[in-house]
Amino acid sequence: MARSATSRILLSAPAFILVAIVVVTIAAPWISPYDPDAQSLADRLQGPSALHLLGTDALGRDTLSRVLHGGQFSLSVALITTLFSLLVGTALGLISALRGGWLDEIFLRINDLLLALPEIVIALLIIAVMGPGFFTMVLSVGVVAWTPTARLVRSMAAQALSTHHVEASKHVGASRWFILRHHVLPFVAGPVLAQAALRFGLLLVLLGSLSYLGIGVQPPQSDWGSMLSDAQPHAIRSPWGLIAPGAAIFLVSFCVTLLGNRITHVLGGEDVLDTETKAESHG
Amino acid sequence: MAEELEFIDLSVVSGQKPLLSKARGALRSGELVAVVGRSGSGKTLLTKAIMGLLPEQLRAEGQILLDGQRLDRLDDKAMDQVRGRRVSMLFQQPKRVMNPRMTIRAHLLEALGAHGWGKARQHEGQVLSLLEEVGLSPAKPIAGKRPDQLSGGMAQRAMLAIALAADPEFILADEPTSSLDSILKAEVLQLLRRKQQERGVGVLFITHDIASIQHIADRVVVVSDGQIVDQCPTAQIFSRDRHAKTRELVEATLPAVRAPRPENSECLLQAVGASKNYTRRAKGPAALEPTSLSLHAGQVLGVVGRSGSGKSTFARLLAGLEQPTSGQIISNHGDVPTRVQIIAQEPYSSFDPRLDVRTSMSAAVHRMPEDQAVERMARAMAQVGLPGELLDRRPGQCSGGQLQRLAIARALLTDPQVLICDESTSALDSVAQRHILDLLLELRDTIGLSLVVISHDMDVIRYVSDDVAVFYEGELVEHRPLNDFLANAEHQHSKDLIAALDITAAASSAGGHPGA
Amino acid sequence: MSPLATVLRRVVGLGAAVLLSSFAVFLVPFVSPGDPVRALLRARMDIGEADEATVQAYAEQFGLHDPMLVQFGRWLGRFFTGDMGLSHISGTPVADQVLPAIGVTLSLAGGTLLVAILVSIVLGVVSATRAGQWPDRLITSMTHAFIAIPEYALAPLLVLLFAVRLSLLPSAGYDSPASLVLPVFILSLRPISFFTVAVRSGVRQALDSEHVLAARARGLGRTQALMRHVVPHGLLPLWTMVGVWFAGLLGGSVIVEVIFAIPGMGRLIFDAIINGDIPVAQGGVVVVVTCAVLVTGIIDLVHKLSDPNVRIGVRHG
Repeated sequence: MARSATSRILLSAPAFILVAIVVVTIAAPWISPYDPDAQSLADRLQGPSALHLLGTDALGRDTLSRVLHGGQFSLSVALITTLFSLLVGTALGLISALRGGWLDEIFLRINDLLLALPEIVIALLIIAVMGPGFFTMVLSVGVVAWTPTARLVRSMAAQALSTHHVEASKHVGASRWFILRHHVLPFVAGPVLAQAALRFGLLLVLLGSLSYLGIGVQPPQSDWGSMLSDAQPHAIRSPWGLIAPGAAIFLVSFCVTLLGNRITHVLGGEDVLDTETKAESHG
Repeated sequence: MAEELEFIDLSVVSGQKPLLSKARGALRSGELVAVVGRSGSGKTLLTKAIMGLLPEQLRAEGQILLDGQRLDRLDDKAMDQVRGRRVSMLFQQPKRVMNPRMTIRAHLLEALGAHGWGKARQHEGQVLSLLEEVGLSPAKPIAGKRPDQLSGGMAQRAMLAIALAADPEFILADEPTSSLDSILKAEVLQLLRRKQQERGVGVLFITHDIASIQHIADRVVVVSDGQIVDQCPTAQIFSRDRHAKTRELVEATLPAVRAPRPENSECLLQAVGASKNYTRRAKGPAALEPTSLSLHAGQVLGVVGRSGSGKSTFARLLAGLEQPTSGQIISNHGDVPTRVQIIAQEPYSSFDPRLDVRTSMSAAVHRMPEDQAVERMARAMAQVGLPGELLDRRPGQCSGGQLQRLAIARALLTDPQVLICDESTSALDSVAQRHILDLLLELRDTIGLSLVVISHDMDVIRYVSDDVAVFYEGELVEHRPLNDFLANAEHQHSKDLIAALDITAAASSAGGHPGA
Repeated sequence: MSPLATVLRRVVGLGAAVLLSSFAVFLVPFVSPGDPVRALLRARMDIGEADEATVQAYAEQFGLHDPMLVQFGRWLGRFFTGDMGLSHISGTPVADQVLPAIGVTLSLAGGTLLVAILVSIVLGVVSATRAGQWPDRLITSMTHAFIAIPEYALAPLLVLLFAVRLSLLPSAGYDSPASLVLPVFILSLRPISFFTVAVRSGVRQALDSEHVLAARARGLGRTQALMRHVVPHGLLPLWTMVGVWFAGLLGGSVIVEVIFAIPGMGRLIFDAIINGDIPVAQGGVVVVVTCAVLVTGIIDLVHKLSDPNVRIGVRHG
């Protein structure tokens, strides 16, 4: 019995887990048992207990509450950045594929250049120039993220445009808009969405690493990455400070990737990680 | 030396569905048996089942006996000893099937079972003599080439050498000539028959085209919908007592009879010194040398040539898909531009697999008001003889023949005056091909459509053309009315093409041409 | 396109890439907060707290008010003859810090990729040949999980386990082969995932192709056909990926280098940026970029020139 494509994607375990995490994170102010910033030096570095489900950190703050609140920052930045790079990347890729010519060539070269550089280095450079902060985080990571999207979109759009059936449609009089709407967009949309899911997961980890290094989120704000940096010196006494935020990042990233994989399968592809390589070959 | 390869109640199933049911037959050494059927009839599965090389999802049942020994009982390793050594295979597209990174020599050594270290030198003599035997000479340089460095004909011969290498007793040939042009087809068929008789090999020849095997097969087996429906000695296939499916295949062959040419009418399309060069160099071969040709209303121009001869380039220029490098294409009559449409070779690539047929076709009428568009589509579907419900299907749910008709319907939506058919039937089986060609001729008669039919198959050209244009190595070398061409062609290539006709000549008593 | 033209085109492309990225790096002092002239001067000599007049005098001497492109040309020239300026912090030549660091990072990256390639070939082939069965599903799940692991959480936990609790491996440093075990392990997780998927995809394609059918019809056994006809073809996509990942690892191993106190390039650049040591940061980034572009370019070139299929141009006819 065939379930519709959308239901197979949305009614799956990874999707449920993700929705649960998002809901819980949004509801953090109401459901977290303690104030995430409330210090209690008497209770520092405890393991999980009835009072503190995930233990406490070096300043006696409840880890569970901090994970919930930190999640707000981590997830929202990752989401904004993903959406930003999705929009910019798709637009750039489409324009490049449709216009063709020298614009396309330049685009490809710049893309190759950006892809050849390590992501963190680019992010570091931008941060060096602009100073750390929310906007810088989004920009520096966004720049890095829109490149693979743009490349994928361009590659798929160019592919679609060079097929025989598009040529046939053009020859019987199809308008540009007809071709874009019926031949290109359906072809491009799926893989791009799947890749966006994958990107979200990778971005979440990358943003966490920036915060871990101290150049992402700034105190007094905290997110999962900065929590890990705080917990590390005390890891010997209480590894829970590492396990909780680490597991949170892992869980979200893993589920999102699985979702992206589902999307790819539904479209007939093999694996979402493959879309990265498929977009490599061009020209 | 084995005497007989037999299969009893051989079935191939996919899940619950039988693709081939209880096939029974035998192949004796020294005889060439043709297995004929339409695409999808299950005939190809016969070869893979006998070789034990069915894809994972399919399962074979029944008995396969090589001189009494049960092949179906052998495990994979034991079958490895049979494959290549006692029973070998020929394939349809040699370049697709050979490894592009290995030399011909390496392929032959594999077939000889000599692909280990140091064994190459011992077998060099054998390698060279095998190549000479199939007419590939000088053997040594050819042995060192890779498949993509060979021409189509050479690759086909190389594949025959590989199949003969270990001196097998039986060869299973899966449509080996179906994608070849007339001249090559004739050569390969002759070569195969000669080798078969010299070595006393039993050959099972799978094909959809009865005409091609009628001079080389001893017996014919007809397959339809997974079942063997008829068998007889070759000479008897034309008798009227045969099974309906047999007669359908025989009647699909293209007869040599031809209706008279219509009167001279206005010139619709004209090429004046048009040429096409894809590289920037001034010197060196162009894809198309300057060519001049004109097409008149109601006329059918047959364009024939081998692949790479420039005929497809010419077609694209005529259709306006590309611009000539020099010269011009004049596509109007008086002040009115001529509407030209083109139908390509591969039906499945001219339709977007994600879209239903109606949406694909609406590309031609999407600017019109809705009711006009609907009415036009209904009319076009009626003109090609297809039911309206096909419009809701996806290309993957249609057969090749149906898709080509849909392509013609889509072209008709633009009310064309000229229809260019670039190898439009080459990917279809003989029955579908006959239907399409008859449809085109019927459109010529009913709505006055002019046709340019491009093919590498002389039978097709002879069946439909009023005039024949021959392309050879980028040049137009001959252009005459059909009967004049058949009687008085001057260029050597034209003569070769006509000679190939005799070898694969269609039956005289069967078939018929509407309007004959 | 002829091989020579391909090479030339690539070389020009590489050159342009290096030029563009070095120019971007060159601009950093000009766009950062603070006085660019002072910053530039401090990269050449120790000016301490010199007053404005002295600064201007030196600026004249070194041509620091010349047009930007001229300065860039000079800067680039000095750079590639080994003079990368002086560290703002230590006053010592930047090259002395950068060159050893690149060696460390290169070996780390090389080791990681070697491990990743070997592991992924095995996993990819197993996964492809047992597609749909439990080995395939297990491996596929693993690849999706690996990329989701934050290394800055995993690394300290592994150190806790192996170095503190079990005392099997050192917790930090770059002295013995053992000290590379954990870093390489962690760094290789993501490449293993992507490579495995690529190998699996390539091998599956080759398996489905008719090459295998024809090879078996010639009498080759299943494993022989696999090794001779499938695997080489299936490994093709790997080579380009390796180049790209190598480039990525050159600077991207920052986290691991910081956690394990490995004196590599990533850590050098990071520290320099944190401390405002612009010359070191510039030097580091340009070296990383040049290496990255070179490696990707060379691999791409070798790939294009050696693949017989890629060499053939488009035929019309």
